[in-house]
Amino acid sequence: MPLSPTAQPLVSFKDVTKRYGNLTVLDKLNLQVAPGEKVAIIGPSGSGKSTLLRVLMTLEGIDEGLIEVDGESLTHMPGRGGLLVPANDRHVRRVRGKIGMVFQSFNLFPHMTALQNVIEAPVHVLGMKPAEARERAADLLELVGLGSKFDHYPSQLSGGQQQRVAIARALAMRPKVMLFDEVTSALDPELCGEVLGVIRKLGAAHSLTMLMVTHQMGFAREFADRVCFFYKGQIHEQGTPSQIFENPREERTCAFLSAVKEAN
Amino acid sequence: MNLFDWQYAWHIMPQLLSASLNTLGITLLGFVIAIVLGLFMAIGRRSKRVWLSWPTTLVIEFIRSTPLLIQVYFLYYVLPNYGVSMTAMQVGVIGIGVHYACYIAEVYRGGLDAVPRAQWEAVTALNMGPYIAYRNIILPQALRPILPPLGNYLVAMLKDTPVLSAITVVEIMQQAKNIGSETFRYLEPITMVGLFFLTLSIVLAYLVRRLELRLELR
Repeated sequence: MPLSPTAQPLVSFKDVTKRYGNLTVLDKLNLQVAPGEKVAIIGPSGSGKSTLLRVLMTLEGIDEGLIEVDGESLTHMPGRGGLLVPANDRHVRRVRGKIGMVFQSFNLFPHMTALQNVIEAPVHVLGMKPAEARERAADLLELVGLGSKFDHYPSQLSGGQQQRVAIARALAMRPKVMLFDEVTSALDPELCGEVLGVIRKLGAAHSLTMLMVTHQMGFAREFADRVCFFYKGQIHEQGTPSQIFENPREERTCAFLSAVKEAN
Repeated sequence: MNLFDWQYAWHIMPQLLSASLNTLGITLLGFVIAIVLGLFMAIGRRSKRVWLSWPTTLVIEFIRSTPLLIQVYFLYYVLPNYGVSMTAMQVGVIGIGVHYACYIAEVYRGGLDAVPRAQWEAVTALNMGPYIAYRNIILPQALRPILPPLGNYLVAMLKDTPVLSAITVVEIMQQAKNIGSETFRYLEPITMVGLFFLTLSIVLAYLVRRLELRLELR
């Protein structure tokens, strides 16, 4: 469960705007995520949901606004005299280290085994000793149910298994916030369950803050603390799962939810 | 009709072999320069920093658009006027190395462009720095498909070494010409040089193929 609302938000978007040429993808977005909170982000395609995660992960820049993680700005750092100056590489890397991301297309390293995928970053970025990293990686892979697949290459794993390795790999970096960008959208329906199961397990065991862009309404309903409906680059409506799914107030939210229901 | 004089051929073999060592040395050293420099040039060309990518692109395009012969002439005969003088061998190795580095840079660029953008995103998401990202993640994926063209360039460099005879490098072709001009019998030396290049090209091509297979099995 999330901490009290007065606690400092772990992730904070203030008036964040991002444009691609003439297209405004994020439109003065404001979002605060409390530590330990699980936020599901739903909405039609092209509404900017993935972009939200991508700018947080510093895969893209923003045009206006401020993003803060754990009290520190992602794009600026304190300079001389307390003024804010554009952040240097070291600052960005330090703040970025608190965020982990799992992608829709898994993005595993194809030339490395599952175990090697998981130990790569801890050894070379966190400076962990290889033996320690290997032990931790083994624990994480067991946690996601892949204890027998340490030496398998991604090409030898199913989509669901690859995604679970990707989750283990992101967790190995000990992030404070985990971002899940439509992680089951590329999976066959019967494989979604195993990935969602792992996410559920993570949510129960750790006080991990999670932001999930998802089309899995059922999962969002039972797992998330808060659901944000995204439309045209803004949070159109947000609330608890029962508020959004059972009593949506906005017209667009209703339209979207009934369209999703139709599809299912 | 002149018949092939085997005794004569046997007689000139030692001189040709010692010059062939020069040819081999220049090719291998030049190739090492080319693959190392070429990689840096490719990364520089792809850089988002304009102060790096533009000059790199200019240099690559300029060197690729001018003949090797003119470049080594310039290095050997013109540079000494400006205080930079090197031996013919040094000019030969550097000249051929830098020349092919520019071609190989384009091959690397193709290989790097072929690495899916998703891999770069994974690397960022895991907070990996550029050096480790290139060394452990990007380059291993970029290099595998470009081994055949790199192998081609190795063979091409070997066959381009006779160009260096123009700046008095005593590689095997120059040696053959020297021998021929002493005895006025060119048939044997030139034939042997031709056989040398043929044999070496086949051997190198075979070794490159073996290397490709070995890496494919991973």
